[in-house]
Amino acid sequence: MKRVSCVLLPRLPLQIVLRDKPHWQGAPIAVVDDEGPGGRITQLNTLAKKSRLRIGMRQSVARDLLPNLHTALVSPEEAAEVTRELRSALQTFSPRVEPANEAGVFHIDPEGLRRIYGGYRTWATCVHRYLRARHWKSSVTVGFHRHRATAVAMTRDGVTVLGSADQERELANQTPLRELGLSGEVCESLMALGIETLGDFLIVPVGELHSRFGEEARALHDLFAEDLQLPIQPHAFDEPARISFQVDPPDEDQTRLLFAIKGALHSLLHQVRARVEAVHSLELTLHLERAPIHREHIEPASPTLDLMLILELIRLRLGETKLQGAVEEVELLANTVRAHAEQEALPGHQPRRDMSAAHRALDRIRAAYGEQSVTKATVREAHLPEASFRWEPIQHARTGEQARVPPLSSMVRRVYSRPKPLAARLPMEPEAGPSLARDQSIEHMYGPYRVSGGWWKRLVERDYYYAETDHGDLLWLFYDRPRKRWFLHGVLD
Amino acid sequence: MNTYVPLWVKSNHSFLEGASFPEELVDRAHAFGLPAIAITDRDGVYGLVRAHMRAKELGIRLVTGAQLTVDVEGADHRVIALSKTRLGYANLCRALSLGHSRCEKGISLIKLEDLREIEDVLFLCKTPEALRALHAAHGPSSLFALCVRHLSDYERPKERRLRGVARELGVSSVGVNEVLYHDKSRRPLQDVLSCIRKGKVLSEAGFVIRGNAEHDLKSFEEAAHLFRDDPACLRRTLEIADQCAFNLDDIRYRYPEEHLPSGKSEESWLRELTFHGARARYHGKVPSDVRSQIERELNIIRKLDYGGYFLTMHEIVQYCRQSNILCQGRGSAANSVVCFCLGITAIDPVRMDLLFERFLSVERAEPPDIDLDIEHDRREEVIQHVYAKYGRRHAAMVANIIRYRIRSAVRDVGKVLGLSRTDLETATRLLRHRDDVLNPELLREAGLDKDSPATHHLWSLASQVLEFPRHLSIHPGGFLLGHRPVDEIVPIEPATMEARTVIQWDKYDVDNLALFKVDLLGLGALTCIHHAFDLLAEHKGLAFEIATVPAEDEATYQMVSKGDTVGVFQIESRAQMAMLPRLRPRTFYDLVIEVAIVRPGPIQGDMVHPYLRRRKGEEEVVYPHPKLERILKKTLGVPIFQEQVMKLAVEAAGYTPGEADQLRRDMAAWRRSGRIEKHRSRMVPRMIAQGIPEEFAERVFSQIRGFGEYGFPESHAASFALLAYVTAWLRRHHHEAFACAILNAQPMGFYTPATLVEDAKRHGVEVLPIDINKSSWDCKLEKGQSPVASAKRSLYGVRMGLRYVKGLGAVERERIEAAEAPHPNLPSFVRQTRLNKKALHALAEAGAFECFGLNRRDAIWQVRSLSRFTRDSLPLEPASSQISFSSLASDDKVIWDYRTSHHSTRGHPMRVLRHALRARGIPEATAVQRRAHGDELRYVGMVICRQRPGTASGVTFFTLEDETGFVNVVIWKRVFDQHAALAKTAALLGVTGEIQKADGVIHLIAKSLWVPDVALVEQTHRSRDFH
Repeated sequence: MKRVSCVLLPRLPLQIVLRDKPHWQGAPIAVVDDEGPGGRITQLNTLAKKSRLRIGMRQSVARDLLPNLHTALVSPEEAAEVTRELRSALQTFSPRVEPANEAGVFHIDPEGLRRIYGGYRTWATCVHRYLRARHWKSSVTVGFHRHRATAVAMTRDGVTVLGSADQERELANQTPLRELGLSGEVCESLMALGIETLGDFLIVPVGELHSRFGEEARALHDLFAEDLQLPIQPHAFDEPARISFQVDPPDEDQTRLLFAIKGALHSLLHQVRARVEAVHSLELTLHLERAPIHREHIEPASPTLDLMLILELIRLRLGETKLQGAVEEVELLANTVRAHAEQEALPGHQPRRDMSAAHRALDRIRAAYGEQSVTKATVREAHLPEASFRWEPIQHARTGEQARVPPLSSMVRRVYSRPKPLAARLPMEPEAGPSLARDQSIEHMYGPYRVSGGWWKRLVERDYYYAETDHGDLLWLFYDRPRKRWFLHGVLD
Repeated sequence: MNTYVPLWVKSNHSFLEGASFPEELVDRAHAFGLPAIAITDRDGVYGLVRAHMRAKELGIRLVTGAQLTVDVEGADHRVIALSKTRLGYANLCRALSLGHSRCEKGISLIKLEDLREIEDVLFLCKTPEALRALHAAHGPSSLFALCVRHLSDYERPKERRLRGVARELGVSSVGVNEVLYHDKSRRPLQDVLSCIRKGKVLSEAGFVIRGNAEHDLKSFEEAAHLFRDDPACLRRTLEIADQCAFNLDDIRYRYPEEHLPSGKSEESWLRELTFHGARARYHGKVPSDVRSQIERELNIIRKLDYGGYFLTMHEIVQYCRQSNILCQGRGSAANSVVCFCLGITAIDPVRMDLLFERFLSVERAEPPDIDLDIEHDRREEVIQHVYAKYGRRHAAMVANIIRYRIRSAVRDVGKVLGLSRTDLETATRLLRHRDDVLNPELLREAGLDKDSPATHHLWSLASQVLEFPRHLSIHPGGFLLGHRPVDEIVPIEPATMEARTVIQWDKYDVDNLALFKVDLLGLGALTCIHHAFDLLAEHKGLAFEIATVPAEDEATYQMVSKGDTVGVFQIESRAQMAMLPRLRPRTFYDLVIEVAIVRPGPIQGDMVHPYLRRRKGEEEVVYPHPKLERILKKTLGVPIFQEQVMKLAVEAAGYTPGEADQLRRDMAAWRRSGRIEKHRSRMVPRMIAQGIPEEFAERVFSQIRGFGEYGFPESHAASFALLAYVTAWLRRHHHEAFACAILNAQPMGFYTPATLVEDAKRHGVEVLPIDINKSSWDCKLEKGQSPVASAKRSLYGVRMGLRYVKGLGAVERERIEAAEAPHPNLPSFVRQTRLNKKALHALAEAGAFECFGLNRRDAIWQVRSLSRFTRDSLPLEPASSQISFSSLASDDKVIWDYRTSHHSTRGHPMRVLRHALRARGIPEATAVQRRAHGDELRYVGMVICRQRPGTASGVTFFTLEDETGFVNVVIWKRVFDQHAALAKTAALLGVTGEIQKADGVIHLIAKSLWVPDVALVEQTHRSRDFH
């Protein structure tokens, strides 16, 4: 009879918390579904349970009872990330690993590995030890039916290898109903009827259960049916498309390198096309002779399979780069996304501007001058002038945006990215103003306009002035009150 | 003239915007030598009274106004409105009421047409649009262009535009800044408040916070420097302030006139009603001392022109009578024989020798304060009657201003500072509600880095924000009624609760302006008494009212003296129960003392033990000074009541009536003001100088401080004692009716329904389980079923009502009551009621379908199937299942009862454990009562009550219950802390301790707490905890 195995990591979110915060070991811990006072406890460690905390309790109540309780939230993303890690790790023990819907449960096909490991028990022990060495608590069961094996794993620690399907059924039937993931109301109602274990549950005809307790009860009943067991759906290895080649002898001539890269890139794009995907970005790694590895990130404006376009971007990037040694090996790794076919624009509906040309141009600038070279100013609500906008890198140009002209002023203020310190004029009174260059002096000051804030971090307190010089320039200055110094922040024209 | 008047000032009663108390702003203006200050809170006059009181104290003038939000062509504009006269103030309040009436709670939007007819109000407009709009309605004379200079660079161009429009319209300009705090140091707090209001964190606040710290109250020199280019516009503030002559003292409040019978004056009608009532009260013969007291009181009422108020209270009481709603006046009103004769109160003040002046005096000329207790489930009817009678403009409820306490302060400020919510939760949990100082050490314990700037800011700002108003809520029952519309005195807002409106002032403001307040409060005990009287009339043919319950009943006092008072109003608490066997009440006045003595005042003043010793004759009755004998004679030389303490202040410390009155106010508001301490230095030396021992003087002062927390005047205690007596009498003589009534009046009182049921059973009342064919929604009396004959057993049993099935509500009640009962079988019941699956399941689980011959599990199985067909019009198909489930064991039934209805009529959960407990040598409660003083024992019981009174220095009192009775456990702080989690959560608790016996009162002094090693489902029970 075909074997199947279940690896169960009980209370995975709690284990994640302890992995991230090992210093919490030995303290009462609760996993909550929200950080606020109304957040409810979803899992507890033994110490917290001994302190009379309960699942479902509000965080505020639990803290009232146990002020030294540690609480943490495990986000779904975090749990999914750990599941991915565990799945990859378990794939080293079998290529056929299927993560179940419940967190911390993996179904694994151990067939064919017995001979390598010298038996199912040794295989299961290796899996268990591997996880234990990485501080994961687990239960590994080798049985015959994936869900029964899971039920057995729920009630046993360590490694269990079941001798027969009957033994598996007998042990699984002893599993408490509340362990099997039924929703609270259905589980409580069944238990009120005296149905407390899986065995009790399976005795009841499925039709009667379905009519009274709905789809959820029927689905659970079906899971344990003899003939409805689905085969394991192994998760594919999600290796990125990559290719590498040796350069022998090492070479630093860019034309020859590009020619070699072109051939490899062709193969790489072939791999990507076969997956029905397109290249979102490319990691180019150059192993240099007697020099550190050189890495470049190339990102086209949109996912593409256009070899010449990508090659041109690589050419531009390498053209701006001085390599510190000859290249020994080239590695290309494609980050891909699912390819989408774009509909051609209908005749007469083409945009007046060719945005794809703009994108290509921006790609080339980025490729030539780096990722941060194309930015736009984003206005933010802030009183401090330098905090009132931010330069943000952009990937795509957009049409239809028009610059807003301030209604009250027709002057343009050119702001220095770092205010320039100015010497103080004697006497050292702010009203006296600063001292400018030798051939320039202030004729009139307008202000002060006071800006202060940030007291919660670092107090800023500035008196801004507009200063008219004898040359007719209009300067924008401020007196930094805490530092007692003058700065030139910009000019107006 | 080198001065000016700040005309745009928002106090912290502009909720979550202003960062200074009104008093702080007035103080600072006074310190700057300014002649006046305006208070212009956002969309209201919330802080006006507090500012007015302080301004009056300091002799500085207060300009009254508000910052209005005005809708000009679809955009909101802030306009400052200042009232010139009483009429202008009334107009302003009316406009604000209109503005609030069309918006959701806390927001106001005034339309231009609301302001069109307004007279005697000056408007200060900050924007050209508002200036033009108001100019069209009012012309230039009552309008000013408001020039602000907070040193922001966008202000100058705006000011130029505004001045241009003002010139064009012929409107003068005035230079005023927006003041949000009295001192620049409050700027961080103002930023934090703004962020709380907008739900932002500081690092992302942007323009939610102001750009600099220039919103402080400026001295003349600072203001003059700002407006140095146009000093005239600053001087204009003085001209405007001169025009605004209105003062809050100008409010001539008149109580609404009652509709009088033709030919009657208010005075004559009150007299007629009073004497009519007196004849009824005294059975046709009004004693001469009562008659002369009535005359005296009527004379004072006439002099003070308060007749209308008494007639209103009489009208409300009459309404209650006609609507069969039980009500009773309490508080100082019980000092008045007029109130007694009008039926407002039930205590005869002449017989009780109560002092009318405590209630009303010509010298004090304060409005009377009558609190009317009403059955708690019918109070809303009375409130809506008041609205209907006086109209929405003449009656509105008094506000309750919700202020920052320590926990809310830490939570809100911490959130704005961007601190981790988890850390903040920990910090707030470490703080106690009662804490009024934020200890930085607690923040460290919560895991916050003590030295980090964020923690420092949290500590500093949370401390500053304490007592700041956060939002407006509604007083439990206080009404402001007016002869003229109330919205001419103070704006009225819609409250969150449907069909309620609320004024912008709280009870302290109303008191300070000597306005009349009618308090309509809900009281569960009255509901209970009413239900009990109805049951007695229905089942036993006995007609009772509160006044006709047999007085001074020996059997009742015997029961009370044993501390057997579960469910008895006011004397059922753990502390009261412990006091009763010591005090052994034998008369009604003993009950009055009992009610008043177990209070923080007498306890903190260490007056309890001297009184008990003197009562038992163990200590001689002596008076600290001969002239105090008159005051303290009734209470054996020990001050127990609030008015005794006040009289002591007058007699022994030479307080003038004014000072005594101030003492009373400071006692009432001690938590808010902390002003009580100043009386210590005044009172104690004066008493010592009169020859009173220092130790007594100090005790009296401690008691005053305690009264501030919660003290009872004699009249108030007497009113409560009456209800205590009536409930005790009902419990003693008609326990089944009392139990049924109190179960139907829940939630109320101290104990859970389970304890009340067990108590009834222990007193021979048969309590019958929930049965769908026999139970009504409420519990009811029915002829008992038990074949066991017993002298104690009543003829009637209590049938538990469906209201106790968890998960049933108003909809289910309606459907069940509409169905035709009795139901022949379960399918018929399901078809008729069409209850949903959840409700049917709840009934099945509670055993309500056992009358159909179904055990609970079978019933659950059936209803889950039948509930699918409730919407079918044809009769339900019979259940097809042949599956049958085992019946519950009797012990399980008890556990299921508790789980589904919080009580069991079938037994006590402890009975299940008794065998196991006996085997371990653990006694039941009755056996514990027989143990000797000093015995050490182990006891196990269910926790029904935990109490940690503020006066008990951290001692916690537990009441544990088993199937035979109660055991009172005392847990010292050290023991409690050692077993904190267990002590706070255990439903079933094991205690090892020592018996302490004194005066028939038995306590188990805990040495350790433990989890009993016997199985019991803990879900059976919930305790009532009071901290």
